[in-house]
Amino acid sequence: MRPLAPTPRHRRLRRSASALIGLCLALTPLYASAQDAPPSGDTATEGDLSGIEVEVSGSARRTLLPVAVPDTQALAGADGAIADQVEQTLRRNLDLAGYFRVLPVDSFFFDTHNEGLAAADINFPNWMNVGAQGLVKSSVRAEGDQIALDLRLFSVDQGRQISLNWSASTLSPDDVRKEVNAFINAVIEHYTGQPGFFGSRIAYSQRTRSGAKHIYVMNIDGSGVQRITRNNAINLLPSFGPGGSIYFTSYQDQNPDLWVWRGGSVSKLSSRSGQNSGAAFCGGKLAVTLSLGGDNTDVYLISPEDGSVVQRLTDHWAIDVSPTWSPDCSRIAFVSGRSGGAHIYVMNADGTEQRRLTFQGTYNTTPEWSPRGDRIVFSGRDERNHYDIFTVDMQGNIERLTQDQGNNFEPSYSPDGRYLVFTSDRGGQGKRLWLMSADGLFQKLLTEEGSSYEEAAWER
Amino acid sequence: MGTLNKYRLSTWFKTPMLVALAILLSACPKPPQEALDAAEAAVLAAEGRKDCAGEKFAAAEALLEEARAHVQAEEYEAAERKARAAERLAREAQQQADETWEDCQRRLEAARRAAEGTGQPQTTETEPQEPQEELKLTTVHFPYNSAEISETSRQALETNLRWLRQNPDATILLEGHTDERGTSEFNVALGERRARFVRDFLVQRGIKADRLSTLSYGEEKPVAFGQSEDDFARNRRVEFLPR
Repeated sequence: MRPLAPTPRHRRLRRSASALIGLCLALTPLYASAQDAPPSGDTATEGDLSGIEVEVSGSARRTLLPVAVPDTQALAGADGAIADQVEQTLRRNLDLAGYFRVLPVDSFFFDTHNEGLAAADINFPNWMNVGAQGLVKSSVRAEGDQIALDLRLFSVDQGRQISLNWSASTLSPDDVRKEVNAFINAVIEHYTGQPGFFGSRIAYSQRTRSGAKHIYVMNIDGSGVQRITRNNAINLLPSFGPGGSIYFTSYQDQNPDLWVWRGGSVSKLSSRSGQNSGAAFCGGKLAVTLSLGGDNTDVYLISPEDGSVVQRLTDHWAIDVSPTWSPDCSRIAFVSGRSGGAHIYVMNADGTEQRRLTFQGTYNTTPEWSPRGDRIVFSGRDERNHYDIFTVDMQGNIERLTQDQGNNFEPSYSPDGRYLVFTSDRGGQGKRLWLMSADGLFQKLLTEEGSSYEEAAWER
Repeated sequence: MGTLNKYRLSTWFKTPMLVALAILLSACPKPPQEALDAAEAAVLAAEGRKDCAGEKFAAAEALLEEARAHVQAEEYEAAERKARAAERLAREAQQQADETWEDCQRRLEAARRAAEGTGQPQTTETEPQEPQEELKLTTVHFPYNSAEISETSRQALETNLRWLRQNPDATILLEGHTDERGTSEFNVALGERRARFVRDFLVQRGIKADRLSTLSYGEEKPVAFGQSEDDFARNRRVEFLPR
């Protein structure tokens, strides 16, 4: 099985290098390594995923189900381009989901194009011989200007179609991709007990060569990219508000002001002299970072309607930034420099009971509370000055999710908490967006084209 | 040569965007905008010290001019080479000036006095109390992850303080910046702390607060685009911008 991440030789090198550095700096490493981290176990194994174990990251192993996706059949004069789109979306997104190994098409030693979509027409022993456990068959048929889309999942060893929480339909060509993603979500639900994340969106920023930086939103599978900011300024730190609105900070008017984008139009929400950033919305409340009245940055609640200050939550001479809500909107985690460096703190939603949560490392920033509420994910700088992604539970126990893969920043959870999107400069092509399972075992490049992507936020 | 090689390495291997750009450039010729911008930034950054690095600074300025001429003539490869050389020289000029700053200031001061001594008659009846120094606003640099400054930066700050006293009507934007390490929101806050540190320093020494405004760009507006310690150090700064 081809390992997705370092070859054994690399790992040996890295291990000896890190051992050396460890000896030089301190005998006790500041963070537990990924290998030492206890397996979280609750992410991938909820359903009946009986696949094969493959190496996914370092020496970590994860079970991936081998699935065959033969070419989509174009019937009754259907546009071949639509069939291509269906098979490509199926392959790419099943791969991206992190539960499957999509078998290469050139390993199919028999003609797949004349085999029907009914279980009786399928030669299951052939599919068994290419190593498939799951088989996804698909066809598109033209019906006037509509497309009849048929997608089916089969269990190869049981030789039967699996009934899914999804049914075939006739629809506009524009909706085909969306419907294929709904099918994939149902396939994931079958194997894991919970539907997949396709159809959800992320907002992110991307720097241009002229020095401007724009806010974009796109579907998690990379489709439907939409540019939010139309100015030529530096725009940063997008986050989602109610009803698909997007908060961001922009230097359009020569001050880092907080703007909000709603249904195609933008307006300024907070434009106090100094910093207006880090908007986090929860249950009608909006937490932000302000340097109000010439003071150092602190965390405030402001009105989501007119931006007026509702309450000041922190009041400290050190930097306080980056609020993030617990899922029930009762508590806020944030970053403070009050103990030197930067650390993650938590407090009640009214600013009371502020306490420090991270005691390892010296620079822990960009926290985000998990949708399950039990952990906070953040980017931290380790003892070797690498930036990596960690989580911390409410008792302060830290787990490492990335290691020896460039610098990794700005993690954001999927709505169901099973995945994270994050920024990484691994691969030597600048900053790009990556996806990983919440246990860090499965990691995959999301933005295959371009560079200078940052600050992704997943819509919940 | 050692520094040259190191610089080339850091530029070409650590910033793959430049590599991609170079490939793009060879495919369809375009002005080497990044190299020109970087050279321009380096020359601007060194300008405040040009009296202490005369030859190198003049050479850097001349090279930048030549690079621009090449762009006009659509000779982009030559333009890029010249721009990079200009950037390197400007940096060296700045470094040389930094290293010899105190000696140089003493020399310049002595030269100024000598010039005044020969140019003026012995009896100075209507002489203004203090000869006007030729001052320029310079950028103040900061150590890593810190809003406090080193001795060299303090001297730059003192120079700017004298400039502000010489130009009592001028108002200044103090623009705080950080290097690219760390994360953007924290860095905006850190850049603002740096700008405020400078403002407080000046206000404590008698500059009216309403002449000074602050703005932080965090890591968003670097002047050096490499990944070396030197590049990072040049980006950790507060710029003095007359308004």
